[in-house]
Amino acid sequence: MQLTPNEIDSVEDMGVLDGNPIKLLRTKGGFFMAIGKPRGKYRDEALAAGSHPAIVKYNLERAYPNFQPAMMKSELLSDNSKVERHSHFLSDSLRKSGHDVYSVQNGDRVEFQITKQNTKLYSVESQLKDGALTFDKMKIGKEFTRALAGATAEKALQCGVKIKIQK
Amino acid sequence: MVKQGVGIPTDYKKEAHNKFDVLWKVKIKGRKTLVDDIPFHCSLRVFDNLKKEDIEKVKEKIKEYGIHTPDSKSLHFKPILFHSKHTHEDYYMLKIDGMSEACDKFFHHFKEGYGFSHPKFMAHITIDKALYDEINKDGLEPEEIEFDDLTIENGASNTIDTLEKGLKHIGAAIGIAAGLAGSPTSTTAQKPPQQSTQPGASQYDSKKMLSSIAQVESSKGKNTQYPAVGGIHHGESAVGKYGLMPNTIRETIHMNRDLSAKHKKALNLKGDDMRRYIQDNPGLDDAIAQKHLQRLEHHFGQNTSKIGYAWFEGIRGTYNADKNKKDIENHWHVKRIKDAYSKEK
Repeated sequence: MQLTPNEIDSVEDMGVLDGNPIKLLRTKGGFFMAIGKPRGKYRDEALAAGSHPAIVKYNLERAYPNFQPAMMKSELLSDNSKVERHSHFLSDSLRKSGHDVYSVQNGDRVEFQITKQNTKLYSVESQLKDGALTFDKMKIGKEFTRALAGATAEKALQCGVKIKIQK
Repeated sequence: MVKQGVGIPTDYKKEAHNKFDVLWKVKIKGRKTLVDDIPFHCSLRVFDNLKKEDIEKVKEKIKEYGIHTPDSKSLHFKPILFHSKHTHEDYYMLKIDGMSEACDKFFHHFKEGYGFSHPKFMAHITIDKALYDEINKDGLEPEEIEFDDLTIENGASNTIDTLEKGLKHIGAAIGIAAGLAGSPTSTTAQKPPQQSTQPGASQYDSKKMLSSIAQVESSKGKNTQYPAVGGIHHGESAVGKYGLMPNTIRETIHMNRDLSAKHKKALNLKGDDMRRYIQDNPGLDDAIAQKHLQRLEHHFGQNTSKIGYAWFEGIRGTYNADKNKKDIENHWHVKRIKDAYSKEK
């Protein structure tokens, strides 16, 4: 993937990996990447990517357990979002073609993202209120219905709430 | 918050004070007492009366059946609300699964002629509403339950005999024996009777066993396509390098504090979702297989045949096969495991 300087929106400190700084890069198209030098490499490379800074951090921490995030340095990462991957609910063929399902929780707001090759395809917003994970609109491709159902059920179980769809 | 001791029917308290009970006192989440002077306990059998000769008979049968204090880590605890058809009352309980068959044998031996008896042995600990709610809210790890020595009580907290002082549970005994295997001061003689050890068991190696299982199940991860299995598995297929059934995976995660903390969500996964979850979490397959093997070693010692059989037929299946004198040595899976084990370096 080639990026030119005018495609980059911002660059922020993200943390340190094996003594090397890791930067969070945001493209003007809203794509995020963690850039840095892994152990034994001489050049910076993209270590993780995603459609949300918290997803990048989540993927980076899974791939590189030695990564140490910078405390509240990054504006983009300072929202304490909690990310979970629910891609096990996707069919094998959708997984093979690079699809993923994530939930990103920030306070009472829970966003479910369906991504392909780390780029957001669909986003479904929900809110934790009155003991329920409440959804308003859901517009997603029908091939993702089962995966989203699984992801929402998993998230609701984890939060100990019901699922509610507002009409 | 509900007060301690709420939800215990009056009849229960009366019975606890008036009857004889062969039981293990139990500590749950650091709490010892259910209500008043009644300790938490798991009864083997409640008796209307026990004469001196009956007590001797009880002690004899405990010895004969090889009843030992259970290790909570090998058991399953589930909070339930039990409605008794006998007293027509509801009881908050922790239902226990996985108790040794010796307990059933004991229960059935004394079923008739000693007062009221339920149709079959149901291992449980009566709890109160406060604890029932707490467990439902926060969960319960097997490590949070501690069994004391087996005792005979003449009314609650009036111990008239301690039957099993010294040998805490099978796991501890096996652990000591395994640790000392090969040493001149081996404690093999202290092992409980159902824990058989094969000739050459001192050379038993868990890593080698795990590697042999992976070889037999999937050629060490090369072939992980498994057919669907019926019966209790409801059409699910085995998963991963060690051919673990989703049921076993869920059970192992549930029973292990570390795994449960990290992978609680897997307890609700089935079939392909479980397979993909295992794929997405590198190393989880190995961790679960290792824990499951430890559990089998706890049940069957270092007996490669029984472990090989149990990997395929389950713990209960292996005990049943043993009881029915089935030739497990010639079971195809056992033969393959033993063959792979002999080739492992």
